[in-house]
Amino acid sequence: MKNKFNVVLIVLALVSILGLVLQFSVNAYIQILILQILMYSIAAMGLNLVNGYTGQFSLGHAGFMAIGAYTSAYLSQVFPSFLETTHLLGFFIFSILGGLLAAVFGYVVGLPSLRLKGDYLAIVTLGFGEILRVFLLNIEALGAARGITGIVPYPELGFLDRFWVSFFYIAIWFVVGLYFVWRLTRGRHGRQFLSVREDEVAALSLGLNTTQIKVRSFVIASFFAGVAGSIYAHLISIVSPSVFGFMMSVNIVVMVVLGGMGSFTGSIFAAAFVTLMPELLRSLQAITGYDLRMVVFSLSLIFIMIYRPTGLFGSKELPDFFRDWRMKKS
Amino acid sequence: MTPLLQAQALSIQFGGLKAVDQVDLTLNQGDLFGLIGPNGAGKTTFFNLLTGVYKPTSGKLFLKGEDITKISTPKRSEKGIRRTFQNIRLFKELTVLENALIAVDQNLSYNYFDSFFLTEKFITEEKSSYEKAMKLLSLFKLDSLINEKAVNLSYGSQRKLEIIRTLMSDPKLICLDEPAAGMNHSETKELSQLIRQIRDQFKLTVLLIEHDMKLVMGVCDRLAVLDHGIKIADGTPQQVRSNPKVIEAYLGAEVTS
Repeated sequence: MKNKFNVVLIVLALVSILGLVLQFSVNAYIQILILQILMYSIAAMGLNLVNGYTGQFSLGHAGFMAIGAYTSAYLSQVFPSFLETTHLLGFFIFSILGGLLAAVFGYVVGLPSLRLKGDYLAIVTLGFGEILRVFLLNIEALGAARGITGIVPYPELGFLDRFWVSFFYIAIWFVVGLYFVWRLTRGRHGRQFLSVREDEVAALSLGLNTTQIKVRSFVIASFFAGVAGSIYAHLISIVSPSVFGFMMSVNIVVMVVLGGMGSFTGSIFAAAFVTLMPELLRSLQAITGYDLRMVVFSLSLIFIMIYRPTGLFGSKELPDFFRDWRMKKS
Repeated sequence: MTPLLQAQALSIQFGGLKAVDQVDLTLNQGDLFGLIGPNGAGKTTFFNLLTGVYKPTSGKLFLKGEDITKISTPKRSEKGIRRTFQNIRLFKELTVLENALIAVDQNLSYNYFDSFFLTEKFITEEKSSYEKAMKLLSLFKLDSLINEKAVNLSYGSQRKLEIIRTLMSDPKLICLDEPAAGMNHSETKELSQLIRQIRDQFKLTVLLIEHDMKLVMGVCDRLAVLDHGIKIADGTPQQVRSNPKVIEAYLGAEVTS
């Protein structure tokens, strides 16, 4: 027990130090990119449970992010003083509430639609994302097309600036999220997800309730999407229906597929790739005079899928590569 | 004593085809029962009725006197009916060990928080199911291959792994659908010994579908023969072998003028 407590302290210390280093070493532009990568990683790791581990194809993850984002945004508009008095705890509670509401929606959407397979499930989840977007577009209380603006950002704490606090908060969610899915997939729950992916009939014959297993992974993924959405709201300070459209869903699916179905570290790498690539390509525009970012970006995606059809990491995690590499050397 | 499994006038109809027609079958505790018949006789369909993949059009099914006719596949599996498949259905991309472990996962009781915090409960439950899997795997001489993907195993080993998977959760009845299909002579011989051994060791009841007559006649205590969905014979291998109806089903009727 004491041992585990020490691990928590070490993680907290590492995150704090890394935050401090980044606060003083890189500029605000890079800082916001790092925060976005962490945020998208949380959503992509969750979706990897559904698309990678359980073998279902969900294409409406932005919808669940929108639920988390709007929950957090709305609550902080209604109770602005609550965030001021409780500091990070308030943000934490809002994120949890956003995640839970997204999980409830995940259950309601998942229960009927996870009986479908393959393309049909993709269509239903896609439909859910679009319905939600149009719904938000028409609710005046949630700002309709304008969305909600001026959302309370993460606070400053003494000499620690806004970036440090944001980084600390998001990185803690990131670490907890990664550890959660990591442990989960190395026990019976993860094996059950995999069994559904591999052969549903055999799973049924072994007494597994496959519908329940699929819904379970869908609900967990929705929760993490909701949390990522809530982080987004306070990070960007603006949420609007157009942000959480089809492109956002596709981006998250790209992160999962590009990183490798069933590889969480792969999802993190791909989240970084998908976030950074269009930014790095901005310099190309300065040279050529044309905006070729999306052309090069999509070409690079196509090439990766041709040469590594299982994604960058396949189903392996980062530590597996180190182990293989060391075994090869000895 | 109530029989372990009892089928009463079990029938299923697909359109105009009566795939299984009024079949009565009684399996006693510890039976090694063979179900044979020519191709398309309804053997696998009968298995599917037994395991709940199909719902019967009429008739009833009892497990230890309890009516299980309307119970779903996973529930029947929980009650102790486990099966293998004619065309092997392993979790191909998972390791041999994982394949075995999945079979008991729903009997474990640790939750997300136990696996998150690596509690005592998580460790003991995982360890006990690991030990159980290893015991079975070494009984079938697969313990050296635990980290191999199931798809890379030889055909015979895949069959064995499927049987291991049925044994993991202490079933009452295991249904083997053509376990010797694709095996050579020596593998088949080894398998028939193994089937007897597991029956005795785990105090199981085994229901076997098989084309390989030698295996069935050698290993089973009792047989039933299906033809066109109808049970045409029932008894010891000796009785069945000399039954004229069975000979007719397999070799065709004598031409009488």
